[in-house]
Amino acid sequence: MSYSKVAKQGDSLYIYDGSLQGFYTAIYDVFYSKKRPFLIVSEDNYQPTLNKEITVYTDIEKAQKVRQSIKEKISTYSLKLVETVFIGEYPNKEMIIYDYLFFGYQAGANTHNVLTEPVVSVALTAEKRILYDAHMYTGFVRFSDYDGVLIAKIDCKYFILPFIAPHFTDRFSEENFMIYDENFKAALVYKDKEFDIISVESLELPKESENELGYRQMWKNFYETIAIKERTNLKLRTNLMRKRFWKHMTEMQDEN
Amino acid sequence: MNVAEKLTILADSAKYDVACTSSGSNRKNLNGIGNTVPAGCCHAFSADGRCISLLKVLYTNHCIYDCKYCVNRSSNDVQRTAFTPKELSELTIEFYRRNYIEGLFLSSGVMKNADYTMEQIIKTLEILRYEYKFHGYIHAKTIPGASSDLVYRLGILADRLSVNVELPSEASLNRLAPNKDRKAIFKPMGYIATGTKQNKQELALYKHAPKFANAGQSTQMIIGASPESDYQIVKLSEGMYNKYSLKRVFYSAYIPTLEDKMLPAIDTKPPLLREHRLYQADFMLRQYHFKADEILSEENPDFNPFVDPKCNWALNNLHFFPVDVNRASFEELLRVPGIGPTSAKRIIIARRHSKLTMLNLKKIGAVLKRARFFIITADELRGIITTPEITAKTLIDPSIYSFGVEQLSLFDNAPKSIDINPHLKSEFTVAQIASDVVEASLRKHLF
Ligand code: SF4
Repeated sequence: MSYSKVAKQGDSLYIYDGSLQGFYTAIYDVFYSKKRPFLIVSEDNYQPTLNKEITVYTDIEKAQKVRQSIKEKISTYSLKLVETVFIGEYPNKEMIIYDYLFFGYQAGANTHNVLTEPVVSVALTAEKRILYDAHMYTGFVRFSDYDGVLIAKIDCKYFILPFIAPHFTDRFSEENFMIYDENFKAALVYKDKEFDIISVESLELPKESENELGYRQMWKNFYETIAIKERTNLKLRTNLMRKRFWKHMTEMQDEN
Repeated sequence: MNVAEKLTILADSAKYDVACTSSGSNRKNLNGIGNTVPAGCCHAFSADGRCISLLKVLYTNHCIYDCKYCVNRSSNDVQRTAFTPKELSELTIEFYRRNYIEGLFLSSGVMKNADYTMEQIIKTLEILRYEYKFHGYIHAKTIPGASSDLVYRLGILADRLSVNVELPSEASLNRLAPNKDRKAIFKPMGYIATGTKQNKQELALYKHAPKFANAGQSTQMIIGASPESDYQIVKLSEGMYNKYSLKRVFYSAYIPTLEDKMLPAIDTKPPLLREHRLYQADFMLRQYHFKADEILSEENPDFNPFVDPKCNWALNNLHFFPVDVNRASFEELLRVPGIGPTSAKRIIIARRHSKLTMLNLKKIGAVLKRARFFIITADELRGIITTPEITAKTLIDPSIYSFGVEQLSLFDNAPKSIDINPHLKSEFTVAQIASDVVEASLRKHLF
């Protein structure tokens, strides 16, 4: 089996509004044009070029059609992959998804198994990286108690808040909490058993209580005590817990 | 003494326990706090590179026993303390709320007697489960010699139970843990295995029967404090996996903390490479469907320091190779050095679409460095043949470089060369070369 059909390279630049619906609309328009676009880009990331520019007008019906066609002509697995890469804000996500879909409409339900095809493995890698970070953050988020409300800051490469939301809302269902992502300036807010992801420009936290500082100190002591001196292996530690995660981890504050 | 001081003492004396996983349990929150996820979750990694998942502490470091290898032994002069059930449950909840931990791993010295200690532990877990409505992970150690009804009550509260076998043979146990009776260890292990079985039946009948240690039981033994061979240890593990349906056996390289003429000298380095090999062999038992007798034997009772046990098996069984990646079964693929469950699965999926070449294998993310000597692909029908030096260099387990020369010297009694099938010796004179290569490059590295 081989899928030799390749799209002719075009030079158009598609600008969409940044939403998933907008992106699906762009995909609809792009496929209709029968040429591989120069770029698909959201308004926020748009920078003027000399290419022909096409503005995409978000159209719910077109978006629905694209979504449906991915499900039917490729697979629900692929739909999930596409949406993970999109929502996770993976760099160059639009073209990665476009190439994956172009190949996928030919290869059908098996697409995600054709591991030898570069456009597939790139998309799978993107999905894997986003979900890996999301998984790591379920462990690495550190809350502080401010008058009964739990607040945490993170600084994540990908937009993982939507992926960790179910985990934390189940685990702390009786609490009120917030996880603020500095990088994406957004917060997962859970209050009175409802959760939402909202954009938050910046976050100033009040002074910590004595009680809170006490628990932080105990945790740091525990962290230091539990390591076995004779087995110190800092390289292994960094391999398992990359430095990009350390910034807001209570116990890593004194490490570099 | 305040809770912070207690925590430092009781975490310090618990740190040698190596089991710290929070896996194997799947529970949603029910109007309380916490849940568990089947894969477990690491919340931090300590400076020794171990995953921190659970708040690992002793309930108390008071102990009536005098096990020679243990920092808490009664004859050791250390500061003693104990939590109260209330203190420990509150600490667990406050750590859990801050997402420091996935739950609690509670073990203990023996205070007054086994049953009394068990009752304190049970009280702590009852506060957690019933007052705080805590649905997170709990791993509890049963106390050797505790009565069966207490073991059962503990199992209802905990996700995982464990009884440490401590030492790999009865003789060593008699010598180093004179008050511990091997029966007192295997009896509760038996209670737990039966408890789990009965519970399965109950759950089949009544969906809401309380779950008994739903993440199963595990155990731990100390490596290097006593003279057992690797073969004896792997055999013991295999036996326990079968007889007591253990989920995991953990191995802990002995770190001397106390001077005693019955124990290795105080400046002995912990046998980390050996421990590493044991975990690899254990993985072969659990995940690769190997038998202990395939991994080691009476005649060859110790691990080869230079190659991992799976590679060692391959070199001793060259008649099994080469394996055709386009035809081999999942089990056969798993026996190829360098191919693990993930790669094997990918190979099986990918070959449905096209005959696999070396390049295809690379593209799907299989690591061929070692595997390539043992497989044939659509384009390499004879397998790759290179010089013995190159073969030797690539088959050496790279992790030994990070363990260092000291660790190799611990293997002084082990065979220095890799045994290979005699009639293939001309192609694979890996034996002597491997050891030379490793020694040479380690020296370059370190001196
Ligand atoms: S019974 Fe346990 S805590 Fe007590 S001395 Fe023996 S190993 Fe140590």
